[in-house]
Amino acid sequence: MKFFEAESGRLVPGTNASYGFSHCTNPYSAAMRDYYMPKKVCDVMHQANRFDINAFNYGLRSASATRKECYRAVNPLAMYKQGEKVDRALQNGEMDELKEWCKKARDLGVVVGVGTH
Amino acid sequence: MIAYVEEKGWDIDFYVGCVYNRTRTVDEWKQVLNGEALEMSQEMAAGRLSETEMEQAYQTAFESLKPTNGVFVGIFPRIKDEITENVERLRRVLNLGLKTMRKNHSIPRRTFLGAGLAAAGGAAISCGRGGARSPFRFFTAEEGATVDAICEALIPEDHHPGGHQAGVVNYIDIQLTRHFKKYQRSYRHGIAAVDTASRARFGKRFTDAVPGERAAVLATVEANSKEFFDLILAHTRQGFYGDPRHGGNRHMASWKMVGLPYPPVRGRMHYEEWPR
Repeated sequence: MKFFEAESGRLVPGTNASYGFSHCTNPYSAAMRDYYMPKKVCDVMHQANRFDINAFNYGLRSASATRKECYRAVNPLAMYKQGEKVDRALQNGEMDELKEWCKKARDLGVVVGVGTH
Repeated sequence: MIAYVEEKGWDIDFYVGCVYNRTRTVDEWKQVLNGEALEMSQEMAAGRLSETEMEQAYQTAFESLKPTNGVFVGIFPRIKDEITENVERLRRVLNLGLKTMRKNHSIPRRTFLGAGLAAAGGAAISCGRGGARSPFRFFTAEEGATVDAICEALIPEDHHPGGHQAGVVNYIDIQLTRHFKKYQRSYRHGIAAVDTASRARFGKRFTDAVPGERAAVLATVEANSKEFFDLILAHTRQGFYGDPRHGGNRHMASWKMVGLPYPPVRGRMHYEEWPR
């Protein structure tokens, strides 16, 4: 599919598994965390790449990293605010802050989106 | 949320929605997706769904999406090759057929990374690649083609797939960056020796030789470079018969050939279920 400037496969590996969030049980999540060492994440990306899967959804699980640091680290095509955070912002009446986040992300020159769960 | 953002006219390019929702029904999602959603997240319930249910989940997702929409899917290929599984499932759902799944050319690293999507605060992912124009990790494109041809010569295709179709070269390539690192030099020299032998005997590269010529070249290599010949023969067997999660045995080609059931989850299979 055409995703703005890029051409990507329609199947996009999600981020949850790579940081060990299994949506299942704690032992299952622990097994995912053990498996997905940084090098393994790269290995799986390369494996996926062999099937034309060339876009990856990834989230930094560090509270200390700023938006700019993330951008510098990855140089992504697009950034979006994760769905649960957006839903919570909507419930708590904090959408102005989210809008500000989107503007700042836009200033970084990336495609900007919002998620919803 | 989408209604709110649309109503307020935010400067947004795309939305990411999640099917795994506590409140929305599939029908409600279909209604939402008639809008301008560009991406859609999908949860496969961490393997708790049966194969049929997963197929249905894919069906629902892709029927509801526009051809310009994509799906996020979690991949955990520790026990089985979930990457191939998901790609095969997608192609079934989209009626694309299962052949030509694997691309034979590489995406330049820059594009590969550039196409990465970062969720709110992305993370550093840096992946090195053997050669800028090579689809392999260790081999150059030419070396990879030669090894692929050797694998096919060692296990030729008959009414079952051979070494080429089973993607044995991928297994060797991947393992040469892992457990087989110590053999990297042997491969570099060995591949060169194969091509030299082919040129000396038939005046062409090994990849350009016909099957009979290839067999003759390999016989020479076996006689003159026995160590390398034994090495690549052993690795070809491993890549052909081993678990697909190690990079070879594409589509469980050899397992289907010998009638081995899949997936072979250790400790879960009862003796009675194995073929006699």
